[in-house]
Amino acid sequence: PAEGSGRALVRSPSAIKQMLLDWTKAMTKEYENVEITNFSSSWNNGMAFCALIHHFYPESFDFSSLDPKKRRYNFTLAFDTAEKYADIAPLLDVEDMVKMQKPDWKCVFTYVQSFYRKLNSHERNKTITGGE
Amino acid sequence: MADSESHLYGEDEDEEMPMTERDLADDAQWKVIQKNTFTRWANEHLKTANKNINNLDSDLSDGLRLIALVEVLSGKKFKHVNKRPNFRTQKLENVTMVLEFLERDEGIRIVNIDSSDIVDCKLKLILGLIWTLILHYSISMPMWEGEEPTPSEGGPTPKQRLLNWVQSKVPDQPIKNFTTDWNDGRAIGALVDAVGPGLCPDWEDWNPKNAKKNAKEAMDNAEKWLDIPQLIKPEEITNPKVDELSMMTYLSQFPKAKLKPGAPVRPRLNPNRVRAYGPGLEPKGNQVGAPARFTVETFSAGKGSLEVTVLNPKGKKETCECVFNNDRNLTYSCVYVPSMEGEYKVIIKFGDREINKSPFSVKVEGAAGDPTKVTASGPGLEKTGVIATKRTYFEVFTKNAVPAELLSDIGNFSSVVLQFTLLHITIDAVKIVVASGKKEAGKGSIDVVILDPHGRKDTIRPSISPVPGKEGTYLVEYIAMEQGLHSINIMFAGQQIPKSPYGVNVSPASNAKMCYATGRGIQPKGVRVNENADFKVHTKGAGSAEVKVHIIGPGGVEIKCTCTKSKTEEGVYECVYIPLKQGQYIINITFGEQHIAKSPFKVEVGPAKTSKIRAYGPRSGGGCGQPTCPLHRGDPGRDLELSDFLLRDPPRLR
Repeated sequence: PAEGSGRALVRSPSAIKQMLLDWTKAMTKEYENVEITNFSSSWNNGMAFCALIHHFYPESFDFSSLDPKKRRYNFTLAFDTAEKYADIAPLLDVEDMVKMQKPDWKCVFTYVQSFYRKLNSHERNKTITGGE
Repeated sequence: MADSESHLYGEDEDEEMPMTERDLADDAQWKVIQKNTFTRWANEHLKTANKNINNLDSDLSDGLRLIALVEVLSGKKFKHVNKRPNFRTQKLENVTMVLEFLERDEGIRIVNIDSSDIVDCKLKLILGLIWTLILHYSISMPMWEGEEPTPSEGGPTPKQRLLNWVQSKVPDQPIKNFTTDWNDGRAIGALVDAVGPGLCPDWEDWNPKNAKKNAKEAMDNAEKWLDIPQLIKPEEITNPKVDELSMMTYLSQFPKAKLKPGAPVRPRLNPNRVRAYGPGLEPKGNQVGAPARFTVETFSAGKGSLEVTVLNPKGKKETCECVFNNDRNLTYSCVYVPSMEGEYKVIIKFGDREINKSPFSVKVEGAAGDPTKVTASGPGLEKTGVIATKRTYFEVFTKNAVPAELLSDIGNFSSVVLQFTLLHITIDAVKIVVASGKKEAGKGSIDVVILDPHGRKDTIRPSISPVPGKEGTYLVEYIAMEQGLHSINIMFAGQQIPKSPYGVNVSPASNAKMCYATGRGIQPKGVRVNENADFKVHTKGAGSAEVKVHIIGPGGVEIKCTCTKSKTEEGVYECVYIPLKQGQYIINITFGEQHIAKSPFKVEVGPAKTSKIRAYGPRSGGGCGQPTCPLHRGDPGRDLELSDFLLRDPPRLR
């Protein structure tokens, strides 16, 4: 890649996607029943969204009491919490998410990247490993 | 299903193909959802410009909202905006300006989307454009503390700012880019150590050829102890084609990183603090076939890997076995067995660097001497008698096995070099190295290996030292820690000497103070000359050891004492001695070489007992038959006996 110039250089979309995915994985590492491997099916029961926002605001709700089968509840809880605590506008619609078994990955990506932008400088923007 | 699958899971080709190519009716739903999502996204950014999109199809048509959106996203301001674009041409100009800016200045590839597509409200293409914007402005350069939110014209770019910061942290490493300068993994090690001192203290010594290993160590440490998630992987950072912006995003997490408490910070490895010593490293004294042993001490040198290479005179490697002792000084015990005569080289490396004095030159001599002529003796070789936790010893005599000229003239030496420093003093023994000018048969020719009752050969390390004044004699000392059968193997020039291995039954450590003695024989008074002075030694409950009685009579004469183990009482020894002279006797009773309670005993032996009645004449057994016998003058008489009271013949009555 050319260097020295002030302009930004071309970035491969897959790299960007992978980076955001890795970030979400790192931020939700400590939640055992949440496994994020893509921007689609991994998010379809709302638990991943809950884990992501709970990681930054653990006092906002009790994660351990969530039920993966209660999809509408989970989405609502996550989106509301994100808006209330982190001022992240809900770019996704709860009903849309409930209707789709496999969420549209670009939509999920769009919403998740807004998490990244808002929370990247949050002090809990780090990997929680055992012992914390 | 491939297409809908790809739009769901996002294959790469998705990026390049505009949505017109996939015009499937049953996918309409996702289009609506995307439109809603993307609209909301755009509106979040447009808030700061006080604008809003109600209908994504048409609201971008005049280009104004698009311009505003891109301004917010890029942080740049457009100059020639048609503020009231009533005509199609003006709208097209606005949109074209934005698209050209995106491609030329922001490096964003816009594929198959024309300005007219936007102006003419082609939703699918508009969605494509918005998606491209979302993607490329998602992970932007995050700001860190103290930084200005938007760069002004002519100020340093985010890239430059990050580079400046990195260079300030690692002044010793020339870093001019975010790609190739990081490929050998050392730069990231340097940065991690700069932000978290002690996490990678040895980065300067890292081998550039181990790029992935270096990078992984640095990045794993950063993840664990600086809380920096690995947004890129070690194999990416070592790749010359690494994506620069990904690098920058990863590195931009460093400025705000803090070292976590409990991080294992280490001082730099210092091979110079490694000490290696032992007969196996000495220039002289080693022989073909005899194990050459030495010790490597790494305690003060930091944590690193030990590498020992032994080269024979032909330059070929010979095996050297090193065992980590896991002791306080972090020592390794190493041994190699030279297979030929000549000059050997022992190369010792710590953390990839040679230690002080390495390589060691060791002149190995031909096996000299006949093992069958070597003998050994001493308490340490006896079948019984050795007690656990007590030092014992034996001597090995090699004089007859070694040609005379190889014996050292130890009697003539005048100085003994005591070689130890504070670091060296270990609990068991002080090692004395005898320096003499003459050639020695060599300590190295004698090897003693002791197997403990479990068959382990490393638990007991005997110390071997030459005995001054006795040619070819070596003193071997050891301490057995457990009771049980031990095997003492004595080797000379690699071969067992006759009678080796010796089986030694070590008795458990004993407690002499729990033993006591009773009886007449140890009372301070009461014993008389010629009497059986008997006493008992009680050892029940005191463990198992040898009872020894050592009596010293008047004039320092040793007196014999017989002891037998009681058949009736457990642990009791019945002892008796007969003092022949009057005077003070000292009774030493030891149990396992230690005095029992109240030992030594002082006994005052009194004179023999005498009566005033004395008999004269022969005893009645051989008498002359007369009732009386003539008195012999000068006869002092003798003690009375029973037979004196018996008449051989009863007197005949007249």
